[in-house]
Amino acid sequence: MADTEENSDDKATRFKEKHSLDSDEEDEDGKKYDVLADDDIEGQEEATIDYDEDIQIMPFNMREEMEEGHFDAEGTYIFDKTKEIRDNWIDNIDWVKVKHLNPDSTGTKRPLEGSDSSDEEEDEDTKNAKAMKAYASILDILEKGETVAKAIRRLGKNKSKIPSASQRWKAKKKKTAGASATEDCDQESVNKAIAEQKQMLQLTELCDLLIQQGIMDIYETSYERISFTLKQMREKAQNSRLTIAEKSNDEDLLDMFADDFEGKEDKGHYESEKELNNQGDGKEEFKKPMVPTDGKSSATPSIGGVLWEYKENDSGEAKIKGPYTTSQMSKWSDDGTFGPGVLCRKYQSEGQFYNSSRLDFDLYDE
Amino acid sequence: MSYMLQHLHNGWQVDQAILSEEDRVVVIRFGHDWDPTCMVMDETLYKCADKMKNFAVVYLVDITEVPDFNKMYELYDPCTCMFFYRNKHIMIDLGTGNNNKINWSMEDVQEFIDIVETVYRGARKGRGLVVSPKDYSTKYRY
Repeated sequence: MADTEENSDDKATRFKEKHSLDSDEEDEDGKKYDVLADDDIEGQEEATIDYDEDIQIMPFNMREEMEEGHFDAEGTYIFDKTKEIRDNWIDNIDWVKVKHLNPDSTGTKRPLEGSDSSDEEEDEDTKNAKAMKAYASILDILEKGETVAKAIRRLGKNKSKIPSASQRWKAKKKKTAGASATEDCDQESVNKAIAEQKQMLQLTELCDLLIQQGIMDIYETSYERISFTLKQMREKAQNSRLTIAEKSNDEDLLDMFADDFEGKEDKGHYESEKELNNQGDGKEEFKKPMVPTDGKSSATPSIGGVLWEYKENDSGEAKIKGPYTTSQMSKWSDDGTFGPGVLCRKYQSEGQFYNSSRLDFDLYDE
Repeated sequence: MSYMLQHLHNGWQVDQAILSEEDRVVVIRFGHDWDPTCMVMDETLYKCADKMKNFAVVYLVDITEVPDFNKMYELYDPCTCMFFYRNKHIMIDLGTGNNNKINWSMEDVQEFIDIVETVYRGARKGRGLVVSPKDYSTKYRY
């Protein structure tokens, strides 16, 4: 019955000895190899004399080596690491300060609505404002139906007309000799070329700024596309401003408009999603609930496209928000937007809510 | 519904059940059919089985009839539920301190399905340890 024996061996490895992965359950197996017995080192000789006049005589044995280590059965020499290895710089680290520099993510941050005041959000805001400004300036330079790359080509084609320093000097000399009408005309086109070059430099600078913000396809973006994006961004900015204004109102008032307000927020979120995808058909995709609508969410774990909803606390009046995509939830969960955790479940699942801190959204991402 | 939970009657069957399943989580309940705790658990498993047939399969093992695993899996509780995927035991952080198994009976069908789904998703991603959606540390401690 070799087969069953093999199986039992297999079983023995299948189950871990330890109940959990707690750090205080470290293995304490000790040595995992055989130490070479002293007798197995052949040909050793006792020490005879230490010195023959000035010449030191090394005894032909391993005694000195064995003080600092030992051999395993295969003959590999292993140093005994009895001495503690110290890094002096570690002593100089002020751990209080280190913790201070990394404010804990599980701390006081409140999700979403409250996050306007957080540093990251502010950063995002200024970034958006910068991008908007850049877009607006680009629009000024671009002509209708033109992409940025085309505009640069257009603005750069007269570069050769701009005189170099020596040419200018020559022209000046000529001028003193006697100006002519043709030269005036030349001067005009030169001025125009210079202005165009300035514009071009400005344009490339703006593009560089946008590329640094992660908008990689800016050179291929057309006038119309930019104006559309700009419009969207402006609307979004307005919405968020509205949100803040609304928030500053009385709590009761807020409740009254809560539905409307929720909708706006969702729309904003959806738009940002769409922007990311740069797809026109994003709407259908986003709205499509992958979870079976019959309420039995787990009849099949639909791989990919799981949508989530969440509420901030367990009280009856806590509003359920969503649906949100798994990647969105994962992001919020990772960047601390959820704080100590919100209660979430799969969208339309009718199941119970679980704390987001125990949910690994990565598993649902595919 | 003519769906019955299948019993495994010897060690070889248990091994084969775990070994032969390619794409599904194997859920094995170790215990006794007559045990009240197991009865509750079996009821839940019975209700779950069809709903999660696409990603999990449930077997029952009588630990008196098949004592082969008692020592190895430390089966000293009246009812123990363990999860396997592709011949690998999948651990779950339930918050109880024992990540190897569920050694109490569960009544909420959806809750159990959610656990098995987490196991399934985790195992598919190569995780040997997954975190259960719910923390059972407070409710079931002693």
